[in-house]
Amino acid sequence: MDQRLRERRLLERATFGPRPGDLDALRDEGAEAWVHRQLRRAAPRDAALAERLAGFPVLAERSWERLVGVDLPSTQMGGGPDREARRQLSRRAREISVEVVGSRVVRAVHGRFGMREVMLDFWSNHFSVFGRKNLVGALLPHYERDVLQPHVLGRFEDLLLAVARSPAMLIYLDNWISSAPNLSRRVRRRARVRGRGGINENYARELLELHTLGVDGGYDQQDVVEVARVFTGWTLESRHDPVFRFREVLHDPGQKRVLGRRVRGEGIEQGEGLLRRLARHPATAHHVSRKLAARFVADEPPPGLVRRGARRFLETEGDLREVLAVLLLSPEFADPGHRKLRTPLRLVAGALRATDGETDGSRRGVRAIGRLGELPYFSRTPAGFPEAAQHWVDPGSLLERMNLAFALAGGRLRGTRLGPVFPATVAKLPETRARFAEVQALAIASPEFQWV
Amino acid sequence: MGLTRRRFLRAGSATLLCACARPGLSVSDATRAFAGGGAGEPLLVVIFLRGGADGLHLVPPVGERAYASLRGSLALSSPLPFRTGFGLHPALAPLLPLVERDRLAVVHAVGSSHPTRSHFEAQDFMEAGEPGTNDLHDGWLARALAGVAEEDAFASLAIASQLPLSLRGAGSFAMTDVAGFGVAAGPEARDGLERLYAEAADDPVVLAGRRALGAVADLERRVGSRGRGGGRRSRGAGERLLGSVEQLLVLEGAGLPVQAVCLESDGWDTHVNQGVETGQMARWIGDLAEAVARLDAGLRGRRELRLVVMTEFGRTVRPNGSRGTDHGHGSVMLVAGEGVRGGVHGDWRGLEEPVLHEGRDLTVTTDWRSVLYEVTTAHLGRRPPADTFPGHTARSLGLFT
Repeated sequence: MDQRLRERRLLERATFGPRPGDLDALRDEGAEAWVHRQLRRAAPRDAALAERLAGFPVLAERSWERLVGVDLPSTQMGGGPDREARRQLSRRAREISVEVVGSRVVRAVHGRFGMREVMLDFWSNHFSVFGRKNLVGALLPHYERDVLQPHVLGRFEDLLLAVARSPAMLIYLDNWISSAPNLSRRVRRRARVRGRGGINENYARELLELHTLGVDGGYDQQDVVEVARVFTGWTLESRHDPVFRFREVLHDPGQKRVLGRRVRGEGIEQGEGLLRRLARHPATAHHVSRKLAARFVADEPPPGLVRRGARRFLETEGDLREVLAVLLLSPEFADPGHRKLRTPLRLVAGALRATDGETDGSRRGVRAIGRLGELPYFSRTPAGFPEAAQHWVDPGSLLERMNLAFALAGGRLRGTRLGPVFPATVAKLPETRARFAEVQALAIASPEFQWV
Repeated sequence: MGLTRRRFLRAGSATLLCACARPGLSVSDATRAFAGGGAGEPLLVVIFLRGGADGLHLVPPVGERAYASLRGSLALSSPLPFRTGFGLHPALAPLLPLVERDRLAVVHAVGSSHPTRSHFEAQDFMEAGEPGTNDLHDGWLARALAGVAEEDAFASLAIASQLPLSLRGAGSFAMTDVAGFGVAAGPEARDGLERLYAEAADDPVVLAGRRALGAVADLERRVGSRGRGGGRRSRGAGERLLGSVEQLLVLEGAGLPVQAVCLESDGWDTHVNQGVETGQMARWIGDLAEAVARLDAGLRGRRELRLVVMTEFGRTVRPNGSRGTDHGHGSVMLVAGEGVRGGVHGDWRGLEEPVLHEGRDLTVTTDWRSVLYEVTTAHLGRRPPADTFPGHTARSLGLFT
């Protein structure tokens, strides 16, 4: 076990990379104390970051009307002149999503409490929503601020419940249009349900497969159907007022059995109870522990470590800080054989932090990351981006990484620039007569810098 | 890795007999490869029309009684004659030489068994090669080409700003223009980069990076050193199909061993003011037709070209309230090139109300994978690997003679 390697990896993996001086500070503090300080539950104040984020007004806007800024009632379905308003709305959703992603880059580069930013990155990928579907893009400020952020280092159960009620997820996985079948005409008219109603299994399936139990978590197709019935009625106030609402009239009141047990309670209690049950299920503990270990330790995490993380998850009723402490302070974390590929965001943020550079999160920088294909909220599948390096290493993406390094060093990404420091973690560079900026680019483009 | 036709050709006639004895390569493959002679090696071009192209506009079923009444203001009044019951949009006129040679096939009422009307889902399912899948790690074309000239960085590529899912997993590149493909670095830095990636390591990053740099150098050697790469891509290329085709012809002319190419065309999502004989969609159709004609003219006698045009879904049969059409279901695929049997293929059931999908769209009667399977089989000279279209049993359409 290599203590120096642990220290470096803590900064590279549990934050978005060391700024000059960070490594010395961590050594003075000691790895264990550092980890526990990073894992404090309450969000610590970070005034400098808050100031930078003030450049993204959509993040703080709580009024849906002001956020989207179009005449909402006219955006209802129904053809005619509404079409233009709907186009405006989707254009606005797109703009908002770009701002949210930009703010994520700023957080990664300038946040003082890197662990929170890294976990936000992790959960927004675990509970992935696609920013280009329907209104999801416009709902991202709410999803990030009110659904994910409060729980990134909290209890898994609270996070799961918050996501299940979030308009972004309800729309993304179509649960808002899922209802009991064969509704009466009166109910359909009152609730503005198109067609005859009926369940939509999309959320139910992903809840089991991706959010909780995992694909081998021991459920079957009938469980998916039953879970979908449990969540009928979990919908939105309306299309132009996308806040969570449980509508009793759309809920399927019949009995349901999930994983061999009757679902208890009535109405909305059924779904809430089921989410709690799933959050405490051993398969969920294993699934979440494995995903965290794959993110922080190794693409193929050692099974013994995954088991220890899962045990801690169950002992602490899903306290994510406890699970993370097990992983980050494990001997496996400091195993030199366990390399992780830098994600595109990590590549850019790591380069900027290592050189003491800065970004305002404007489009150029975001687009450069997007070209490498792992922009937050732009996974086209509910599974999020895959973790393992094999999915991301190909000649085309390496060429993009090289060009990204030279674009950064050459000052070609407006609003984003490297600082004057040479990245301390790169050891091997060939002798060259190239200019300093080019040498910086070489360091960032080097094979060594692609791994953490 | 099996013996590919390309390598087989290079190996020369001395190996003909023993090669034929190998499993996976039949005598007819061998003779076809040799008969190819001057016609050159096969090239597969896949054109994706993004946005959901209106198949009823591209190849209107003018023989249907319901055509004029259902299409209303969008009904074409003077389509080009094609086959009994079907015309072609007038903007497809550049394809008439192909039609005369009987090398343009239309598969009508084709599409996916998945009912989604979402662009991104429908495109992803098609490119992944499996309806309803959430596994988007690699594409159908990458799997189909497994083992084919994998050592060559230019064997498959996309003229596009991003590598389309169809080709993901094949170690392919996406480029928008040949001149912009490269590393945007000065000679000293470039040299440093090459040395950084020169070491023979078992690091996959080193291997991929070296392949990338090798491809850049290879292209510069053949096309001349103009590579500035990075953020300086020219704007026009990639937006118009014709521009992409010109880029492809440059690569091909430089002697790069390109075997499969993905081309992209955006803008087929005609919800508003679709146009009829002229207008918005006619312009896109014209671009498509010119691009195909240019490829055909530019490669005839040089390459054994096969080309397939696909889209994620068709559009509503009836116009909407904005002189456009909304997301529908079945559409058309076009297949052109070497050995193609011209005409209208697939199972046509008409436009009468009861046979429409949900009373509004063209019902899908042919699975898109059957078309791609047949085109790929013709291109490879053998069946594509079994995992190309997981769980799909291809139906024979007889698209090739």
